[in-house]
Amino acid sequence: MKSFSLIIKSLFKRKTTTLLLILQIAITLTILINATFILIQKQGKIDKPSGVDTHNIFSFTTNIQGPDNDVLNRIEQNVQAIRDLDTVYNASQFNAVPYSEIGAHVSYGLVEGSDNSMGSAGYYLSSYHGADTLGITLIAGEWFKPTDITIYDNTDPTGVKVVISKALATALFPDDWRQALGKTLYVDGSPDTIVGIADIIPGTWPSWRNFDKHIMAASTLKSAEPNIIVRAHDGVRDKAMEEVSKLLLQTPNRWIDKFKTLQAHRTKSHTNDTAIVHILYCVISLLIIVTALGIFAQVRFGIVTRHKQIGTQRALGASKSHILQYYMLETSTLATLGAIFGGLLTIVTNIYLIEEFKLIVVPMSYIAFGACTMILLSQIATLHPILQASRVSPAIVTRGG
Amino acid sequence: MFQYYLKLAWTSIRKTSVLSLLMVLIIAVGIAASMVTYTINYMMTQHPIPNKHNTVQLIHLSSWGSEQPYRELDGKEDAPSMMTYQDAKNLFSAHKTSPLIKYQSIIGTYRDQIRAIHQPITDARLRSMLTVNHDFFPMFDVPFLFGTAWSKQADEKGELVAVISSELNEQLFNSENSVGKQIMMGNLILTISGVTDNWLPTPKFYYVRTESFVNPRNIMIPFKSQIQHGLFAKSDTRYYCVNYPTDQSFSTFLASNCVWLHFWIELNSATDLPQYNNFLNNYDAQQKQAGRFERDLASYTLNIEDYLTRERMIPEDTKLAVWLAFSFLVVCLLNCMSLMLNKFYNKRAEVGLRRAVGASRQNIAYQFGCETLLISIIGGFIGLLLTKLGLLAAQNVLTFLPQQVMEMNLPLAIMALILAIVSCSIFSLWPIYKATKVQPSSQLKSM
Repeated sequence: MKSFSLIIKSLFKRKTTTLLLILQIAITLTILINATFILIQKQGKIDKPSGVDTHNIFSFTTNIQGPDNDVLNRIEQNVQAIRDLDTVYNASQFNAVPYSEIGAHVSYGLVEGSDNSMGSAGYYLSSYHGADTLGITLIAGEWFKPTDITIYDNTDPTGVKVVISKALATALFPDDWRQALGKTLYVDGSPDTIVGIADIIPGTWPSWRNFDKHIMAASTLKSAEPNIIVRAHDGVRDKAMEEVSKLLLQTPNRWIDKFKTLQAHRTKSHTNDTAIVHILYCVISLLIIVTALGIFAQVRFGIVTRHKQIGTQRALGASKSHILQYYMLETSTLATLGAIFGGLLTIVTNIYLIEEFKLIVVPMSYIAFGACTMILLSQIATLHPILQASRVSPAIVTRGG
Repeated sequence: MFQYYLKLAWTSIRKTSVLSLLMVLIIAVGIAASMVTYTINYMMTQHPIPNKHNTVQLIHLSSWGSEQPYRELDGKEDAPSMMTYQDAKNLFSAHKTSPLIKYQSIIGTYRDQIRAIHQPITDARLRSMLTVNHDFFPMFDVPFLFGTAWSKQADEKGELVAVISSELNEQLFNSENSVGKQIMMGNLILTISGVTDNWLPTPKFYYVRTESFVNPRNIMIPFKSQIQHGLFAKSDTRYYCVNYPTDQSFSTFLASNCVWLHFWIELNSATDLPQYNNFLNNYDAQQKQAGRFERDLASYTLNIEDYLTRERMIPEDTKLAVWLAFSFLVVCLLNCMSLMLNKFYNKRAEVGLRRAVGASRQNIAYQFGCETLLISIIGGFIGLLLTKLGLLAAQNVLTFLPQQVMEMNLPLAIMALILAIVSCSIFSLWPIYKATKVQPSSQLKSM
């Protein structure tokens, strides 16, 4: 305790260097915590499981020529022809493709009336083959029967059967999501019945806050330009893509657009986040290097200027370990002060960041963890100069000056 | 005298080479980090046509249904940024010739199989295009490599003409002058009237948010020809409807309340805006009376900047990166400051000697100032080099942004150098002040 009060006194004597070091640690900590927090969030978003067979799925849009009233039959003929290919596991028409950034959303509620809406959720229209094509896992209830499938021709179908994601079920019944099964869900005003709950249904917009909440309705969209999703057998996706393209282009004037693997859609929808993650990694590592350098230089400076003092201490009987302890304690004190200021600064900047960039509050654990890291970092960075300090010979006092 | 100090500074830098190199590198890294992010952010938030800041406006008609608002953001209701065919037609014909309006253009979309007429049918590619009016080109200052925009006559007759981009011209015609040549669009023959010259406004403000940073639509055809030839690609058209039509046909779509067209105007002068708004309010009132516009919300116009802000077309993440990078620069400078303290402390004997033989405090400050200046200039130049490298790396990582936002221009380069020198000078004030405080006598003993 005696050496602690000495340290405080000596720090007061060297105000500039002390303040400089504290300031540097504080700012570093602020950037570090905020950057890491954003990084972990973005990384989490990128790594989130899709809940579907991402590696074997591809999708496309095509034109189904012919009279309007017969379009659904012709879509089904085409999809069936795709299913009959050897490389294809299953195929189905959807209104939208996961991660493609183009899709539909609806408002939902447990009570009728637009005032009772509980929020927004993504909305897929799926045929009987939908679950099998995507590879969705049901954790409660059952999938649609072929007879359940209705036709969606831009008038909202009422009373259809729907499968919802677990995240949506939890939003409806926070206490027990299983209660959602069998309930009536008002989807944009239409009373639909929840027949199944899927573990994960991937949405179309990864940056949307309601990405997890999804409804799949037993309905096929009547459209002359349908989205078709195909799931190939394991490992033959690229071959299946070739075969499907060849099959479809046999029809004159047929075009295929957005012919992409689900993996490509997913990667593309995450490019923004991936880029930010790369930048943040760079910032964080550069910052750590520069700050460690700074602490090293400053502590070294503090020790070099006090060589004679150390010599005197040694001459008066302080052991090497005393000196070591003293300077390590001094560095820790500085780092702790910096960490405290940095923690406060983090909270302040976080408030600003929340307003400016719509971020969420940094949890206290991050600040605590960041502070510990800074203290540890400062110890590592100063190991060399402190060891040198302990090696200062007592004889230095006897030399000139 | 200055030369002498410069020589002194250079000698000193060479003597303390490790410390000086460290300082230079730290400044360089800090400058590079902040300049890379600043450049990207600056380029992205540039006004696409600054000289038309107040005169070019996008019309928002309050045509949405009574049941629920078209969109609500931050507690404020928005009118659709697109409009129905009926409204676009009405507004356009109201000011066909008018002292108020300089230019006006509708923007729609279409997609079809495209090939040059000499290419075999198997070479046709599905391409997306914009359907616009003649005025689109002068209003947005579109530069032409060959030819010009189609005539106003072509507009009115709905002729089958096209303006293509230099990029598409390269693919179809090997970058030759293709004016007058023909391309096939489905079964229709289009005659090329002009080729745009590398026109890539950032962001592509004139259409929807999702297309603001992706590859541009490479073909433009007259809006009227889209209507006349029933060119409708539903899966390529962004549209929102109060009630979605059950019939798939284009005619039903045109008669419906679906919004899908952007309507841009350029006024002769910004002072005409109230007058145009008057006209708009009258139109709004008429439609409300007729029961077509059901909401209480008034119609309004937005200039490009406000439209970009409201649609959130500028990614927030880059702003965040700038914030991070500049704090990083501060850390670097603080670091440099401590290195300087270190360095000047090591030189206290030299300072003492110089003071003892007659150098004034100003002389000492001058000497160290020169040294700092030299270091900051070298740091600035290396920083500039690193910025170039950083921007190159950014082009590989930030693939969702167009290349040209990651290029540095002369003003930005000068700014980087000034930033290096000024910030470094400010942060060196204290160490220099400390150095001048050295007492001549205190140091002479240890010599």
